[in-house]
Amino acid sequence: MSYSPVEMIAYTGSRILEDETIVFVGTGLPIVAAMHAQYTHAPGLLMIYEAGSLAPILDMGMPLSVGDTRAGRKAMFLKGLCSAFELTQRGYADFAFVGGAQIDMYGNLCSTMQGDEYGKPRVRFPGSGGAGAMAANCEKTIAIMVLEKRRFVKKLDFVTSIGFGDGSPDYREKAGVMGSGPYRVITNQALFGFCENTKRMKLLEVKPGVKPAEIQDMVGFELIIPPDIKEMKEPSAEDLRLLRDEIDKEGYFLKREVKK
Amino acid sequence: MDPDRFSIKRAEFAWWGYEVIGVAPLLRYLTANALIEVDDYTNYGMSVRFKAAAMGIPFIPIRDHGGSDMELVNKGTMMKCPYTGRNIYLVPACHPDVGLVHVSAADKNGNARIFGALCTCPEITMASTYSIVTAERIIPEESIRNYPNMTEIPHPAVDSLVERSYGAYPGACYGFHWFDMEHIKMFRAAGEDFRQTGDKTKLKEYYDKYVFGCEDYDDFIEKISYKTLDKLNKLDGGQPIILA
Repeated sequence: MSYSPVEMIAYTGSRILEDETIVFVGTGLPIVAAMHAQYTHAPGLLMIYEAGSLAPILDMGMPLSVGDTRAGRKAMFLKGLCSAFELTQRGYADFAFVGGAQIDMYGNLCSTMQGDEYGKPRVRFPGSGGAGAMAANCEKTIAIMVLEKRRFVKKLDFVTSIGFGDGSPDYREKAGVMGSGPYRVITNQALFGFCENTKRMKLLEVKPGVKPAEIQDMVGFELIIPPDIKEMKEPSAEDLRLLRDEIDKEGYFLKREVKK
Repeated sequence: MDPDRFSIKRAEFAWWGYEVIGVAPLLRYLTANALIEVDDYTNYGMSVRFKAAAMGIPFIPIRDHGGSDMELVNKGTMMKCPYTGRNIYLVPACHPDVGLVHVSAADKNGNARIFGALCTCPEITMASTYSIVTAERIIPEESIRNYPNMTEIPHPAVDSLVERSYGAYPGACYGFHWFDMEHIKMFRAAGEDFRQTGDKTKLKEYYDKYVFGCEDYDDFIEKISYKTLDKLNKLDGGQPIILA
């Protein structure tokens, strides 16, 4: 059964999440992926929504944003932004699930602006939102990106969400953050992890039929490419039914085109 | 944009946009043309700045911003913790001159109950020099006194209280109505049209109809159809709230 690039991203996101853990989700595909995981292999996965909700039961449908009233539905704990982020500072969130406009080889992310001048950006994005704090203090950060050279860059225009910084071993400790940092980067064509020693981005899996060298060509920095690259698992008909008919019925996030 | 109408010189914020509907065209316009000074924080950073103000303290140590470029541009600063010797980021308290929040219910004194996510409403009310609370419903003081744990904003923090159903529109009010995506889309599209073409006709039409064309809030809500409001009520799905 054929699937879209966005569906592959959502499915892969679901695959990475683990049962009996807590994921702090951002708006869009992270919500879709976490719902899919709950429907399939991770019924005990709990979500935090930054407006203040922990462990909602989303029986009114998929929240369209992290501030959607539906995100508070039948939660176990519903306070405010401070409480939600203080759960992460205290170490209770296993995964951060964020996006960004640019990423570098150390997993730092930009979602603030593009251009040379902070005060007069060429393109201004909405800003950190929750992402900066999630990437700082959730235990592991999962990023969702579209695989393009202009997004996988040598140097970010602005570091919004901390990854491994400049790659030095004590960068995060000096920054005063709690989490261990970047864990996975999910794209429509490849799945990346990070090398434990160098903190650099490492290719783990490719979409069936795609060669590692082709992935390197779409990235603006040198990837670590180990010999044992796996193929990304593809969504089954049942996975696609869940995504399309149960989770994002209106196609708010799954029907978005991957911009070329 | 009409310079006589536009007086915002500086914005300290964490996120400016319309979530699923799209990025904010006017933020893009203002920043690309350097018409506004901005200062970026995380969502926690801004919320906790209000929290520090609500606590009556001048700054608060937190565990984000460090190692990002926000550290280079915003008012926060890294320091060595005097107890552990480790780095910790400080952000200053934020005391708005005026705070404006909408709550589910309040008694006549201004003691307010909030259902759904609190966001940062209690902290903003406590932090502001002058706080205006609009309430979807006014409830008896007896109810507040029966369940004092449910009061999220104590009345001394409230300077003005307004009974105002649909006071959160076009946003949502948990237990009452969902947000009006079509209305926000319309406003965003008018802004995007201005950003792309420089033609402010649609934006001006919006403001003339929904802002300058309204004497009071009733005039504004009267321009939203009954069918729309009824649909939004149903989309909330009757999330459980306690008003009695």
